[in-house]
Amino acid sequence: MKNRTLTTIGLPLRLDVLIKSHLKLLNARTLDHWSFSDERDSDVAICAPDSPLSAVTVKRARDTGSPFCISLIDSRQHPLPGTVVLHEPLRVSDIIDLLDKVSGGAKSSTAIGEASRERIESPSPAITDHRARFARTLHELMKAGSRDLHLIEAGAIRFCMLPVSRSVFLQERPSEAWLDWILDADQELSATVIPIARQQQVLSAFQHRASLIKLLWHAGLNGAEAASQLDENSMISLSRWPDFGNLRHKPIHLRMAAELSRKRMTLTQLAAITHASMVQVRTFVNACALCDLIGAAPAPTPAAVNIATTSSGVLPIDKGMETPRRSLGFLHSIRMALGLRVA
Amino acid sequence: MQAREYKLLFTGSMGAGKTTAINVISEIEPIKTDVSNTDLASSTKATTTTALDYGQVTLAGGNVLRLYGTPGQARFDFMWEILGSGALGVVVLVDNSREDPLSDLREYMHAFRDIVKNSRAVVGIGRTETHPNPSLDDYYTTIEALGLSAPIISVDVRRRDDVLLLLDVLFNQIEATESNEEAHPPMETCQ
Repeated sequence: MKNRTLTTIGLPLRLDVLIKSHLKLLNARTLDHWSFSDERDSDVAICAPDSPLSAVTVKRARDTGSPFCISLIDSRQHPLPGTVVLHEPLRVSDIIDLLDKVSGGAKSSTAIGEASRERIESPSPAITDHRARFARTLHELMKAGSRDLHLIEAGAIRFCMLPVSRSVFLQERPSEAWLDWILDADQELSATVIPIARQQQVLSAFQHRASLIKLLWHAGLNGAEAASQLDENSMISLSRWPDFGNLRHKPIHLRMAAELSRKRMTLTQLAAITHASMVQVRTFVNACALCDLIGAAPAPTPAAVNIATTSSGVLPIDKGMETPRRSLGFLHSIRMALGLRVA
Repeated sequence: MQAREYKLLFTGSMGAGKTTAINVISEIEPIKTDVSNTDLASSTKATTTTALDYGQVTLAGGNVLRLYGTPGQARFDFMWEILGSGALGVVVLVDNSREDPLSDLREYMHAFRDIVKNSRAVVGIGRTETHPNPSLDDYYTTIEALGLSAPIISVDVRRRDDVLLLLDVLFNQIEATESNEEAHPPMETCQ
Protein backbone atom coordinates (compact mmCIF):
# COMPACT_ATOMS: atom_id res chain seq x y z
CA MET A 1 0.00 0.00 0.00
CA LYS A 2 1.46 3.33 -1.10
CA ASN A 3 0.94 6.81 0.31
CA ARG A 4 -0.58 9.10 -2.28
CA THR A 5 -1.79 12.68 -2.22
CA LEU A 6 -4.79 14.54 -3.58
CA THR A 7 -5.25 18.26 -3.98
CA THR A 8 -7.99 20.57 -5.20
CA ILE A 9 -7.70 23.44 -7.66
CA GLY A 10 -10.10 26.37 -7.68
CA LEU A 11 -12.96 24.62 -5.89
CA PRO A 12 -15.29 26.52 -3.60
CA LEU A 13 -14.73 26.07 0.13
CA ARG A 14 -17.84 23.91 0.45
CA LEU A 15 -16.48 21.29 -1.96
CA ASP A 16 -13.00 21.51 -0.53
CA VAL A 17 -14.30 20.68 2.93
CA LEU A 18 -16.46 17.89 1.54
CA ILE A 19 -13.60 16.25 -0.32
CA LYS A 20 -11.40 16.40 2.78
CA SER A 21 -14.19 14.74 4.77
CA HIS A 22 -14.62 12.04 2.15
CA LEU A 23 -10.90 11.32 2.14
CA LYS A 24 -10.96 10.60 5.87
CA LEU A 25 -13.73 8.06 5.40
CA LEU A 26 -12.64 6.26 2.28
CA ASN A 27 -9.11 5.32 3.20
CA ALA A 28 -10.24 2.00 4.63
CA ARG A 29 -11.64 1.13 1.21
CA THR A 30 -8.96 2.21 -1.26
CA LEU A 31 -6.00 0.26 -2.58
CA ASP A 32 -3.54 2.91 -1.42
CA HIS A 33 -3.55 5.39 1.46
CA TRP A 34 -4.70 8.87 0.40
CA SER A 35 -4.16 12.17 2.15
CA PHE A 36 -5.05 15.73 1.27
CA SER A 37 -2.23 18.04 0.22
CA ASP A 38 -2.05 21.73 -0.60
CA GLU A 39 0.81 21.05 -3.00
CA ARG A 40 0.14 21.28 -6.71
CA ASP A 41 2.43 18.36 -7.46
CA SER A 42 0.10 15.89 -5.81
CA ASP A 43 -0.82 12.60 -7.47
CA VAL A 44 -4.38 13.69 -8.19
CA ALA A 45 -5.87 17.15 -8.69
CA ILE A 46 -9.63 17.70 -8.55
CA CYS A 47 -10.22 20.85 -10.58
CA ALA A 48 -12.92 23.46 -10.98
CA PRO A 49 -13.24 23.74 -14.78
CA ASP A 50 -13.75 27.50 -14.72
CA SER A 51 -10.62 28.27 -12.69
CA PRO A 52 -7.58 29.61 -14.61
CA LEU A 53 -5.33 27.62 -12.26
CA SER A 54 -7.09 24.45 -13.39
CA ALA A 55 -6.21 25.13 -17.02
CA VAL A 56 -2.57 25.63 -16.02
CA THR A 57 -2.59 22.40 -14.04
CA VAL A 58 -4.11 20.42 -16.91
CA LYS A 59 -1.48 21.77 -19.31
CA ARG A 60 1.28 20.79 -16.89
CA ALA A 61 -0.25 17.31 -16.61
CA ARG A 62 -0.22 16.99 -20.40
CA ASP A 63 3.44 18.01 -20.53
CA THR A 64 4.74 16.05 -17.55
CA GLY A 65 2.19 13.30 -16.99
CA SER A 66 1.26 14.50 -13.51
CA PRO A 67 -0.98 15.21 -11.69
CA PHE A 68 -3.94 13.06 -12.68
CA CYS A 69 -6.56 15.72 -13.40
CA ILE A 70 -10.26 15.43 -12.68
CA SER A 71 -12.91 18.03 -13.58
CA LEU A 72 -15.59 18.30 -10.91
CA ILE A 73 -18.69 19.66 -12.62
CA ASP A 74 -22.33 20.38 -11.89
CA SER A 75 -25.16 20.03 -14.39
CA ARG A 76 -24.32 23.24 -16.22
CA GLN A 77 -20.56 23.08 -16.48
CA HIS A 78 -18.30 21.49 -19.07
CA PRO A 79 -15.17 19.55 -18.15
CA LEU A 80 -11.70 20.67 -19.16
CA PRO A 81 -10.44 18.80 -22.23
CA GLY A 82 -8.42 15.71 -21.44
CA THR A 83 -9.71 15.35 -17.89
CA VAL A 84 -11.81 12.69 -16.28
CA VAL A 85 -15.19 13.87 -15.08
CA LEU A 86 -16.69 13.71 -11.61
CA HIS A 87 -20.25 14.95 -11.27
CA GLU A 88 -21.80 16.81 -8.39
CA PRO A 89 -23.22 15.72 -6.04
CA LEU A 90 -20.03 13.95 -5.02
CA ARG A 91 -20.24 10.29 -4.06
CA VAL A 92 -17.66 8.44 -2.01
CA SER A 93 -17.96 5.41 -4.28
CA ASP A 94 -17.07 7.42 -7.38
CA ILE A 95 -14.02 8.90 -5.69
CA ILE A 96 -12.89 5.44 -4.53
CA ASP A 97 -13.25 4.11 -8.08
CA LEU A 98 -11.16 6.91 -9.47
CA LEU A 99 -8.43 6.76 -6.86
CA ASP A 100 -8.12 3.00 -7.27
CA LYS A 101 -7.63 3.51 -10.99
CA VAL A 102 -4.77 5.86 -10.28
CA SER A 103 -3.36 3.31 -7.86
CA GLY A 104 -3.75 0.68 -10.56
CA GLY A 105 -1.37 2.56 -12.81
CA ALA A 106 -3.37 5.16 -14.69
CA LYS A 107 -0.67 7.78 -15.20
CA SER A 108 -2.64 10.54 -16.83
CA SER A 109 -6.17 11.54 -17.39
CA THR A 110 -6.04 10.40 -20.99
CA ALA A 111 -5.08 6.90 -19.91
CA ILE A 112 -8.67 6.20 -18.93
CA GLY A 113 -10.82 5.08 -21.82
CA GLU A 114 -14.38 6.03 -22.59
CA ALA A 115 -15.83 2.95 -20.94
CA SER A 116 -14.13 3.76 -17.65
CA ARG A 117 -15.17 7.38 -17.90
CA GLU A 118 -18.81 6.38 -18.24
CA ARG A 119 -18.51 4.10 -15.24
CA ILE A 120 -17.14 6.90 -13.15
CA GLU A 121 -19.94 9.21 -14.22
CA SER A 122 -22.61 6.68 -13.31
CA PRO A 123 -22.25 4.54 -10.20
CA SER A 124 -22.18 0.84 -10.81
CA PRO A 125 -25.46 -1.05 -10.62
CA ALA A 126 -24.14 -2.83 -7.52
CA ILE A 127 -23.64 0.49 -5.74
CA THR A 128 -27.04 1.87 -6.68
CA ASP A 129 -28.61 -1.44 -5.64
CA HIS A 130 -27.07 -1.10 -2.16
CA ARG A 131 -28.34 2.42 -1.86
CA ALA A 132 -31.77 1.52 -3.15
CA ARG A 133 -32.15 -1.39 -0.69
CA PHE A 134 -30.95 0.74 2.20
CA ALA A 135 -33.16 3.68 1.32
CA ARG A 136 -36.23 1.56 0.58
CA THR A 137 -35.94 -0.25 3.90
CA LEU A 138 -35.84 3.04 5.76
CA HIS A 139 -38.69 4.34 3.60
CA GLU A 140 -40.87 1.36 4.43
CA LEU A 141 -40.18 1.79 8.12
CA MET A 142 -41.08 5.46 7.85
CA LYS A 143 -44.33 4.68 6.06
CA ALA A 144 -45.28 2.19 8.76
CA GLY A 145 -45.11 5.14 11.18
CA SER A 146 -44.24 3.08 14.21
CA ARG A 147 -43.90 4.85 17.55
CA ASP A 148 -41.20 2.36 18.55
CA LEU A 149 -37.55 3.30 18.58
CA HIS A 150 -35.63 1.15 16.11
CA LEU A 151 -31.90 0.41 16.20
CA ILE A 152 -30.64 0.27 12.62
CA GLU A 153 -27.44 -1.69 11.96
CA ALA A 154 -25.51 -2.53 8.80
CA GLY A 155 -21.99 -3.68 9.53
CA ALA A 156 -20.16 -0.84 11.30
CA ILE A 157 -23.09 1.53 10.82
CA ARG A 158 -25.43 2.03 13.75
CA PHE A 159 -28.08 4.64 14.35
CA CYS A 160 -31.57 4.89 15.81
CA MET A 161 -34.78 5.75 14.04
CA LEU A 162 -38.17 6.88 15.29
CA PRO A 163 -40.49 6.40 12.29
CA VAL A 164 -43.48 8.34 13.63
CA SER A 165 -41.46 11.53 13.99
CA ARG A 166 -39.35 10.83 10.89
CA SER A 167 -36.22 11.30 12.95
CA VAL A 168 -32.90 9.55 13.11
CA PHE A 169 -30.49 9.69 16.03
CA LEU A 170 -26.81 9.53 15.23
CA GLN A 171 -23.50 9.15 17.01
CA GLU A 172 -22.00 12.05 15.08
CA ARG A 173 -23.21 15.22 13.47
CA PRO A 174 -24.53 14.31 10.02
CA SER A 175 -22.58 15.58 7.04
CA GLU A 176 -22.85 14.79 3.36
CA ALA A 177 -19.80 12.55 3.66
CA TRP A 178 -21.47 10.66 6.49
CA LEU A 179 -24.69 10.31 4.49
CA ASP A 180 -22.73 8.90 1.56
CA TRP A 181 -20.92 6.55 3.89
CA ILE A 182 -24.06 5.00 5.31
CA LEU A 183 -25.71 4.80 1.91
CA ASP A 184 -22.73 2.86 0.58
CA ALA A 185 -23.01 0.21 3.29
CA ASP A 186 -22.63 -3.08 1.50
CA GLN A 187 -24.06 -5.23 4.25
CA GLU A 188 -27.64 -6.08 4.90
CA LEU A 189 -29.54 -3.69 7.09
CA SER A 190 -31.26 -4.91 10.25
CA ALA A 191 -33.85 -3.00 12.26
CA THR A 192 -34.41 -3.99 15.89
CA VAL A 193 -37.21 -2.59 18.02
CA ILE A 194 -35.86 -1.28 21.31
CA PRO A 195 -38.07 -2.03 24.35
CA ILE A 196 -39.35 1.09 26.08
CA ALA A 197 -37.43 0.24 29.22
CA ARG A 198 -34.13 0.39 27.32
CA GLN A 199 -34.84 3.33 25.00
CA GLN A 200 -33.28 6.02 27.14
CA GLN A 201 -30.17 3.98 27.71
CA VAL A 202 -29.77 3.22 23.99
CA LEU A 203 -30.47 6.81 22.95
CA SER A 204 -27.79 8.14 25.28
CA ALA A 205 -25.23 6.84 22.77
CA PHE A 206 -26.88 8.69 19.85
CA GLN A 207 -26.79 12.36 20.72
CA HIS A 208 -27.39 13.97 17.32
CA ARG A 209 -30.94 14.16 16.04
CA ALA A 210 -31.46 14.58 12.29
CA SER A 211 -34.27 14.39 9.79
CA LEU A 212 -34.98 11.04 8.16
CA ILE A 213 -36.43 12.97 5.22
CA LYS A 214 -33.05 14.61 4.64
CA LEU A 215 -31.40 11.20 4.56
CA LEU A 216 -33.93 9.76 2.13
CA TRP A 217 -33.80 12.89 -0.05
CA HIS A 218 -30.02 12.62 -0.22
CA ALA A 219 -30.34 8.93 -1.09
CA GLY A 220 -32.74 9.65 -3.93
CA LEU A 221 -30.60 12.40 -5.42
CA ASN A 222 -27.59 10.09 -5.25
CA GLY A 223 -28.76 7.05 -7.11
CA ALA A 224 -31.15 5.20 -4.82
CA GLU A 225 -34.17 4.29 -6.88
CA ALA A 226 -37.38 4.45 -4.90
CA ALA A 227 -39.30 1.61 -6.46
CA SER A 228 -39.37 -0.33 -9.69
CA GLN A 229 -42.85 0.89 -10.68
CA LEU A 230 -41.58 4.41 -11.39
CA ASP A 231 -40.75 3.61 -14.99
CA GLU A 232 -40.62 6.21 -17.73
CA ASN A 233 -44.26 5.70 -18.72
CA SER A 234 -45.76 5.97 -15.24
CA MET A 235 -48.01 8.98 -14.85
CA ILE A 236 -46.93 10.75 -11.72
CA SER A 237 -47.63 13.99 -9.91
CA LEU A 238 -46.32 15.74 -6.86
CA SER A 239 -48.80 15.54 -3.99
CA ARG A 240 -46.79 18.05 -1.94
CA TRP A 241 -43.71 20.13 -2.52
CA PRO A 242 -40.38 19.04 -1.06
CA ASP A 243 -39.42 21.30 1.83
CA PHE A 244 -36.70 23.08 -0.10
CA GLY A 245 -35.99 25.22 2.94
CA ASN A 246 -34.47 22.15 4.56
CA LEU A 247 -33.41 20.05 1.59
CA ARG A 248 -30.42 20.60 -0.67
CA HIS A 249 -31.66 21.47 -4.15
CA LYS A 250 -30.84 23.07 -7.49
CA PRO A 251 -32.87 25.57 -9.53
CA ILE A 252 -34.01 22.79 -11.87
CA HIS A 253 -35.63 21.01 -8.91
CA LEU A 254 -37.88 24.01 -8.28
CA ARG A 255 -38.86 23.99 -11.93
CA MET A 256 -39.69 20.30 -11.87
CA ALA A 257 -41.68 20.66 -8.66
CA ALA A 258 -43.70 23.51 -10.15
CA GLU A 259 -44.62 21.44 -13.22
CA LEU A 260 -45.23 18.17 -11.41
CA SER A 261 -47.47 19.78 -8.79
CA ARG A 262 -49.79 21.06 -11.50
CA LYS A 263 -50.61 17.87 -13.37
CA ARG A 264 -49.72 14.24 -13.90
CA MET A 265 -47.09 13.46 -16.47
CA THR A 266 -44.45 10.88 -17.36
CA LEU A 267 -40.77 11.27 -16.66
CA THR A 268 -40.17 11.83 -20.35
CA GLN A 269 -42.75 14.60 -20.46
CA LEU A 270 -41.27 16.23 -17.38
CA ALA A 271 -37.83 16.22 -18.98
CA ALA A 272 -39.23 17.76 -22.17
CA ILE A 273 -41.11 20.54 -20.40
CA THR A 274 -38.33 21.53 -18.03
CA HIS A 275 -35.39 20.83 -20.39
CA ALA A 276 -33.89 18.69 -17.63
CA SER A 277 -31.85 15.61 -18.42
CA MET A 278 -33.39 12.21 -17.73
CA VAL A 279 -30.78 11.71 -15.00
CA GLN A 280 -31.92 14.91 -13.30
CA VAL A 281 -35.57 13.90 -13.65
CA ARG A 282 -35.01 10.40 -12.31
CA THR A 283 -32.98 11.46 -9.30
CA PHE A 284 -35.46 14.22 -8.44
CA VAL A 285 -38.47 11.92 -8.78
CA ASN A 286 -36.71 9.20 -6.80
CA ALA A 287 -35.91 11.63 -4.03
CA CYS A 288 -39.54 12.81 -3.94
CA ALA A 289 -40.81 9.22 -3.97
CA LEU A 290 -38.59 8.22 -1.07
CA CYS A 291 -39.98 11.20 0.85
CA ASP A 292 -43.56 10.12 0.05
CA LEU A 293 -44.31 13.14 -2.13
CA ILE A 294 -45.24 11.35 -5.35
CA GLY A 295 -48.63 10.12 -6.45
CA ALA A 296 -48.46 7.53 -9.25
CA ALA A 297 -50.93 5.97 -11.63
CA PRO A 298 -50.21 2.87 -13.73
CA ALA A 299 -48.75 3.52 -17.15
CA PRO A 300 -51.55 3.79 -19.71
CA THR A 301 -51.77 1.29 -22.57
CA PRO A 302 -50.41 2.57 -25.89
CA ALA A 303 -53.96 2.98 -27.25
CA ALA A 304 -55.01 5.02 -24.24
CA VAL A 305 -51.96 7.23 -24.58
CA ASN A 306 -52.83 8.16 -28.16
CA ILE A 307 -56.33 9.25 -27.33
CA ALA A 308 -55.59 10.99 -24.01
CA THR A 309 -57.20 14.42 -23.94
CA THR A 310 -56.45 17.61 -22.09
CA SER A 311 -59.75 17.46 -20.25
CA SER A 312 -58.39 14.67 -18.04
CA GLY A 313 -55.50 16.77 -16.81
CA VAL A 314 -53.08 14.47 -18.63
CA LEU A 315 -50.73 15.82 -21.25
CA PRO A 316 -51.21 14.12 -24.63
CA ILE A 317 -47.92 12.58 -25.61
CA ASP A 318 -48.51 12.92 -29.35
CA LYS A 319 -48.82 16.68 -29.14
CA GLY A 320 -45.11 17.12 -28.74
CA MET A 321 -43.63 18.08 -25.44
CA GLU A 322 -41.45 20.97 -26.50
CA THR A 323 -44.01 23.33 -25.02
CA PRO A 324 -43.47 26.88 -26.20
CA ARG A 325 -43.21 29.20 -23.24
CA ARG A 326 -44.65 32.64 -23.44
CA SER A 327 -42.03 35.22 -22.85
CA LEU A 328 -41.94 35.98 -19.15
CA GLY A 329 -39.13 38.44 -19.51
CA PHE A 330 -40.18 40.41 -16.46
CA LEU A 331 -39.61 37.38 -14.24
CA HIS A 332 -36.16 36.96 -15.74
CA SER A 333 -35.52 40.62 -15.02
CA ILE A 334 -36.68 40.22 -11.42
CA ARG A 335 -34.50 37.14 -10.97
CA MET A 336 -31.48 38.97 -12.31
CA ALA A 337 -32.08 41.90 -9.98
CA LEU A 338 -32.40 39.59 -6.97
CA GLY A 339 -29.44 37.41 -7.96
CA LEU A 340 -31.50 34.25 -8.46
CA ARG A 341 -30.09 31.57 -10.75
CA VAL A 342 -32.27 30.40 -13.62
CA ALA A 343 -32.92 26.67 -14.05
CA MET B 1 -41.34 53.84 -22.78
CA GLN B 2 -43.05 54.07 -19.41
CA ALA B 3 -41.43 52.11 -16.61
CA ARG B 4 -43.43 49.09 -15.50
CA GLU B 5 -44.19 48.25 -11.91
CA TYR B 6 -44.72 44.87 -10.33
CA LYS B 7 -46.08 44.25 -6.87
CA LEU B 8 -45.26 41.50 -4.40
CA LEU B 9 -47.16 41.16 -1.19
CA PHE B 10 -45.89 39.81 2.12
CA THR B 11 -48.61 38.90 4.57
CA GLY B 12 -49.04 36.91 7.73
CA SER B 13 -49.74 37.25 11.42
CA MET B 14 -48.02 39.67 13.75
CA GLY B 15 -44.42 38.60 14.34
CA ALA B 16 -44.29 36.24 11.38
CA GLY B 17 -41.46 38.19 9.75
CA LYS B 18 -43.03 40.32 7.02
CA THR B 19 -41.01 43.43 7.85
CA THR B 20 -37.84 41.36 8.22
CA ALA B 21 -38.38 39.62 4.88
CA ILE B 22 -38.77 42.92 3.04
CA ASN B 23 -35.73 44.30 4.87
CA VAL B 24 -33.42 41.57 3.59
CA ILE B 25 -34.23 42.02 -0.09
CA SER B 26 -35.15 45.66 -0.49
CA GLU B 27 -32.48 47.81 -2.08
CA ILE B 28 -33.79 50.88 -0.33
CA GLU B 29 -34.09 51.37 3.36
CA PRO B 30 -37.57 49.97 3.85
CA ILE B 31 -40.22 52.43 4.91
CA LYS B 32 -41.72 51.08 8.09
CA THR B 33 -44.80 52.13 9.97
CA ASP B 34 -44.05 50.65 13.36
CA VAL B 35 -45.33 51.76 16.72
CA SER B 36 -45.00 50.23 20.16
CA ASN B 37 -46.88 47.00 20.48
CA THR B 38 -49.56 47.27 23.11
CA ASP B 39 -51.21 43.97 22.12
CA LEU B 40 -48.88 41.79 24.15
CA ALA B 41 -51.50 39.04 24.39
CA SER B 42 -51.05 38.40 20.66
CA SER B 43 -47.31 38.89 20.48
CA THR B 44 -44.44 39.89 22.72
CA LYS B 45 -42.79 41.97 20.00
CA ALA B 46 -41.71 45.41 21.02
CA THR B 47 -43.08 47.03 17.89
CA THR B 48 -45.74 46.22 15.34
CA THR B 49 -46.63 47.51 11.86
CA THR B 50 -49.70 49.72 11.84
CA ALA B 51 -50.06 50.55 8.19
CA LEU B 52 -47.76 48.74 5.80
CA ASP B 53 -44.10 48.23 5.06
CA TYR B 54 -42.65 49.20 1.74
CA GLY B 55 -39.48 48.23 -0.04
CA GLN B 56 -38.41 48.05 -3.66
CA VAL B 57 -36.01 46.51 -6.12
CA THR B 58 -35.01 48.29 -9.31
CA LEU B 59 -35.16 46.13 -12.42
CA ALA B 60 -33.53 46.47 -15.81
CA GLY B 61 -34.98 49.21 -17.98
CA GLY B 62 -36.02 51.30 -15.01
CA ASN B 63 -38.85 48.95 -14.07
CA VAL B 64 -39.59 48.48 -10.40
CA LEU B 65 -40.56 45.60 -8.14
CA ARG B 66 -42.52 47.01 -5.21
CA LEU B 67 -42.65 45.03 -1.99
CA TYR B 68 -45.57 45.58 0.35
CA GLY B 69 -45.94 44.12 3.79
CA THR B 70 -49.47 44.05 5.15
CA PRO B 71 -50.13 44.88 8.77
CA GLY B 72 -50.60 41.65 10.67
CA GLN B 73 -53.35 42.68 13.02
CA ALA B 74 -56.81 41.56 11.99
CA ARG B 75 -58.32 45.03 12.37
CA PHE B 76 -56.33 46.09 9.30
CA ASP B 77 -57.70 43.30 7.14
CA PHE B 78 -59.62 45.82 5.00
CA MET B 79 -56.25 46.72 3.50
CA TRP B 80 -55.47 43.17 2.41
CA GLU B 81 -57.85 43.18 -0.56
CA ILE B 82 -56.66 46.59 -1.66
CA LEU B 83 -53.03 45.57 -1.50
CA GLY B 84 -53.69 42.19 -3.11
CA SER B 85 -55.28 43.70 -6.18
CA GLY B 86 -52.91 43.47 -9.14
CA ALA B 87 -50.20 41.73 -7.16
CA LEU B 88 -47.77 39.45 -8.96
CA GLY B 89 -48.07 37.09 -6.03
CA VAL B 90 -48.32 36.82 -2.28
CA VAL B 91 -45.91 35.39 0.27
CA VAL B 92 -47.78 34.16 3.33
CA LEU B 93 -45.55 33.93 6.40
CA VAL B 94 -46.59 31.90 9.43
CA ASP B 95 -44.94 31.80 12.83
CA ASN B 96 -44.95 28.20 14.04
CA SER B 97 -44.44 29.30 17.63
CA ARG B 98 -47.85 30.99 17.81
CA GLU B 99 -50.69 29.45 19.73
CA ASP B 100 -52.70 28.35 16.69
CA PRO B 101 -50.64 28.80 13.53
CA LEU B 102 -52.98 26.62 11.47
CA SER B 103 -55.77 29.06 12.21
CA ASP B 104 -53.49 31.90 11.12
CA LEU B 105 -52.87 30.09 7.84
CA ARG B 106 -56.59 29.58 7.26
CA GLU B 107 -57.21 33.27 7.78
CA TYR B 108 -54.71 34.34 5.14
CA MET B 109 -55.72 31.61 2.71
CA HIS B 110 -59.29 32.94 2.90
CA ALA B 111 -58.21 36.54 2.56
CA PHE B 112 -56.10 35.87 -0.55
CA ARG B 113 -58.09 32.97 -1.92
CA ASP B 114 -58.20 34.23 -5.51
CA ILE B 115 -54.45 34.72 -5.65
CA VAL B 116 -53.85 31.30 -4.14
CA LYS B 117 -56.23 29.65 -6.64
CA ASN B 118 -54.23 31.23 -9.46
CA SER B 119 -51.06 29.54 -8.18
CA ARG B 120 -49.52 32.84 -7.18
CA ALA B 121 -48.92 32.15 -3.52
CA VAL B 122 -46.20 30.53 -1.45
CA VAL B 123 -46.29 29.81 2.28
CA GLY B 124 -43.23 30.19 4.49
CA ILE B 125 -43.27 28.63 7.95
CA GLY B 126 -40.89 30.18 10.46
CA ARG B 127 -39.44 28.87 13.72
CA THR B 128 -39.90 25.21 12.78
CA GLU B 129 -36.52 24.28 14.30
CA THR B 130 -37.55 25.37 17.77
CA HIS B 131 -41.25 24.57 17.31
CA PRO B 132 -41.55 21.49 15.07
CA ASN B 133 -45.32 21.18 15.56
CA PRO B 134 -47.55 21.64 13.67
CA SER B 135 -45.59 19.85 10.95
CA LEU B 136 -45.59 20.84 7.29
CA ASP B 137 -47.90 17.89 6.67
CA ASP B 138 -50.39 19.48 9.07
CA TYR B 139 -50.24 22.71 7.06
CA TYR B 140 -50.83 20.86 3.80
CA THR B 141 -53.79 19.06 5.34
CA THR B 142 -55.19 22.44 6.41
CA ILE B 143 -55.03 24.12 3.03
CA GLU B 144 -56.19 20.98 1.22
CA ALA B 145 -59.28 21.02 3.45
CA LEU B 146 -59.95 24.51 2.06
CA GLY B 147 -59.80 23.13 -1.47
CA LEU B 148 -56.60 25.03 -2.13
CA SER B 149 -52.99 24.17 -2.79
CA ALA B 150 -49.74 26.06 -2.43
CA PRO B 151 -46.10 25.19 -1.83
CA ILE B 152 -45.12 25.29 1.85
CA ILE B 153 -41.48 25.80 2.81
CA SER B 154 -39.66 26.05 6.15
CA VAL B 155 -37.78 29.33 6.27
CA ASP B 156 -35.92 31.75 8.46
CA VAL B 157 -36.70 35.15 6.94
CA ARG B 158 -33.69 36.68 8.66
CA ARG B 159 -31.68 34.83 6.01
CA ARG B 160 -31.77 36.45 2.59
CA ASP B 161 -31.37 33.08 0.85
CA ASP B 162 -34.54 31.81 2.50
CA VAL B 163 -36.57 34.83 1.38
CA LEU B 164 -35.16 34.45 -2.13
CA LEU B 165 -36.13 30.77 -2.04
CA LEU B 166 -39.74 31.73 -1.33
CA LEU B 167 -39.73 34.11 -4.27
CA ASP B 168 -38.01 31.59 -6.53
CA VAL B 169 -40.69 29.01 -5.72
CA LEU B 170 -43.36 31.61 -6.45
CA PHE B 171 -41.81 32.59 -9.77
CA ASN B 172 -41.46 28.96 -10.85
CA GLN B 173 -45.14 28.47 -10.10
CA ILE B 174 -46.09 31.49 -12.17
CA GLU B 175 -43.95 30.29 -15.06
CA ALA B 176 -45.41 26.80 -14.93
CA THR B 177 -48.94 28.23 -14.88
CA GLU B 178 -48.31 30.65 -17.74
CA SER B 179 -46.54 28.15 -19.96
CA ASN B 180 -49.21 25.52 -19.45
CA GLU B 181 -52.01 27.96 -20.20
CA GLU B 182 -50.15 29.00 -23.33
CA ALA B 183 -49.77 25.46 -24.63
CA HIS B 184 -53.05 23.95 -23.48
CA PRO B 185 -56.53 25.26 -22.79
CA PRO B 186 -57.51 25.36 -19.10
CA MET B 187 -57.85 21.84 -17.75
CA GLU B 188 -58.53 20.06 -14.51
CA THR B 189 -55.55 20.13 -12.23
CA CYS B 190 -54.67 16.98 -10.40
CA GLN B 191 -55.62 16.57 -6.72
